[in-house]
Amino acid sequence: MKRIVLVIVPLCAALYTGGVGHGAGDLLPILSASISQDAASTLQLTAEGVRQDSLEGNATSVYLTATGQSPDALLVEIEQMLAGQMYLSHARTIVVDEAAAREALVPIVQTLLRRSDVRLTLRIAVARDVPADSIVRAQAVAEEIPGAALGALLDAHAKRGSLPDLPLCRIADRILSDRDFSLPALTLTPDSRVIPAGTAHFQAGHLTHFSGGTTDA
Amino acid sequence: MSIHLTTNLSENLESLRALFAQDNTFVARTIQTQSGLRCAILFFDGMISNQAINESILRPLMQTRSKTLTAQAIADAIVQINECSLAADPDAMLSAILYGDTAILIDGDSRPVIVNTKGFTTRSPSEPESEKVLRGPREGFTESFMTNLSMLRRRVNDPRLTFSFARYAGETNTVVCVCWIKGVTPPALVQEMQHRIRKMSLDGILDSNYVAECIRDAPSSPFPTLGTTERPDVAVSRLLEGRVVVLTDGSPVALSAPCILQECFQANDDYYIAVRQAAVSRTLRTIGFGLSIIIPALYVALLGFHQELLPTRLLLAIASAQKGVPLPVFWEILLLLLVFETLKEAGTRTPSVMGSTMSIVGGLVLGQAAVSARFLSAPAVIIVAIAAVTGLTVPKLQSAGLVLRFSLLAASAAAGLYGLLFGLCLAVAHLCTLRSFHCPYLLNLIPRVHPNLDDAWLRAPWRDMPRKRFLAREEDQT
Repeated sequence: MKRIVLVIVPLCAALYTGGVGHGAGDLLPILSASISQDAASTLQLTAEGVRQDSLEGNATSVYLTATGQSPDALLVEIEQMLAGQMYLSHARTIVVDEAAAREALVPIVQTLLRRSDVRLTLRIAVARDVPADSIVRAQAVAEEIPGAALGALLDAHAKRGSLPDLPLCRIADRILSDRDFSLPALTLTPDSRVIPAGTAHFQAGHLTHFSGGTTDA
Repeated sequence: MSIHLTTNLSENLESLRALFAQDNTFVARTIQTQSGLRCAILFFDGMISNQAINESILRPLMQTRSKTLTAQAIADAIVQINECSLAADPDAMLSAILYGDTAILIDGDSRPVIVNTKGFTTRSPSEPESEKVLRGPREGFTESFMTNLSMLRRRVNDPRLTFSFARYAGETNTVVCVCWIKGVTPPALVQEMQHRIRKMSLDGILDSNYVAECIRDAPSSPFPTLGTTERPDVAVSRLLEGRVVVLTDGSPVALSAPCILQECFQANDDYYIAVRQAAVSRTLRTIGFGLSIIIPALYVALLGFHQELLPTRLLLAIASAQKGVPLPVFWEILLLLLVFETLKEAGTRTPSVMGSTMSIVGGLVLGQAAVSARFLSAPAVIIVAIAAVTGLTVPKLQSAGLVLRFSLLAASAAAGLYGLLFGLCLAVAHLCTLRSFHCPYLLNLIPRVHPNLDDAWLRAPWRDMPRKRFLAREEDQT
């Protein structure tokens, strides 16, 4: 009897859990996102989700936009739009505009760190002289997914040393230890391609100035 | 079934005919010698060699002129057959004639003479279907007991090879033979085997599995704790390793003990082909078994709980394949595994003419239709196909693989990778507790005091492995 119970109980648990669990089809992986801030301190989030309709087809990007007063509110609003779960595990890049970088980087980082699905290798870049969402929406040259291309661009430049190599974990470390740090800056070419645009320098978690790239701020 | 024999031949024949009155195959032929002495030969039709009886028993008996014949004289001087003796008692005589021997009874002597005239039809040795080799001996055991023993004796040309018979006294009166090599096999192991065989309590033995289930350790474990083989060369190699081999009359399967996990990954080919090729094959088998039990569970765990571990492109591809599929991943895999096991079971007993049709319909058409109808996703079919194919690499662990595959699947469906790891830990813990005839089941696979790694995960070249006795250490041998 004891042996039967030992078999039946885990089996029932497995059958129940296996039946109610999420499948890969329920998820909308987010590959990149942008956060910008307007004059009224309202934040706007543009998230690039990726979906593929068939095994033979190509992956296509879907852009979701939400506005709110805090980074937490942005994520809540996006999740309310989806029947599935917004899944940030595959997100590689978050682009913030200059205003958000000056005022809201610390709460953004804190919000990201609170989520269990965000990878600590996520990179944050600053949009220089262009809106942040235009960077996220820009067509990729070699990749069909703009978010993947953006992540690959930042990784490649970080590996080469031409842009700062500062993933989310290191940014959090710098902010917590109240140290200065630098993030990569990105901009667009006249034909709307993303290119590096120097380095954005931060002090006490706020953007102070840019260096390198096309213009010095 | 018992009779009492007297010196009166007519009385003896009467009681024997009464005993086998319902049996039309019983033959009791009365003859008279030239001196007028009455004898009877008793046998069962179909079990004996007619030529042996006619030429070696009937002819010499009928031509004898001696007036004072005794059973001993017939056995010593008249019957012209290599194996001839006096039966110890009437029961031994009955047992002998039921097994193809012929009994000779004479007037004036109550002792029966037993002559070996076995001549029943047996299958000729052929390569066992379940243990085929690319290179090496192709002979297999048959249902004929003595033929099987001769195959062992032919390979071990050493007087120390010992065959100990035990006639199992059930309804079938089956002979079970314990074989070992003196000085190589630990005596305690032989005694333990004989003790367990004596303790069996069955009304009959039709195959060695009857014996195996009675004498094996941990009968509820899915892992085999008793080795089996249909090949004499494998049986001999196990004898040389210091094990005991048990042959059962009427069964082509030899049992060997102790059995350790290591031997489940060994194939006959390993010892007949080049050492490097054998190393690659054995490595592939080991990996294949691991994959077959882990892959379905890993797939369910990753898709159900740990999607972040999948590369983005792979996740997208799987997600696209799952669109429109009504079942959760766990149920998809579970159903597919059940369908596969059912097809395998059906295929085992399907005539070979229909086998290919069934595999095409069952495997290809059904799988393709299920994916096209969005009843199942293509990655799930691929995962189960990989598990199915890799599961065939280690035939000796098929039942263990089946149990582990489903258990780990359930564990990973309940708790993801944590469940999978927990399940694997339980399996390893179970293996650590297993013993076969007091021998640890993981012998040589985990560090121990006297490990012999010559033939553990990989085998060493024969020149470095002159004595393949990893079970019996030198100090154990007497």
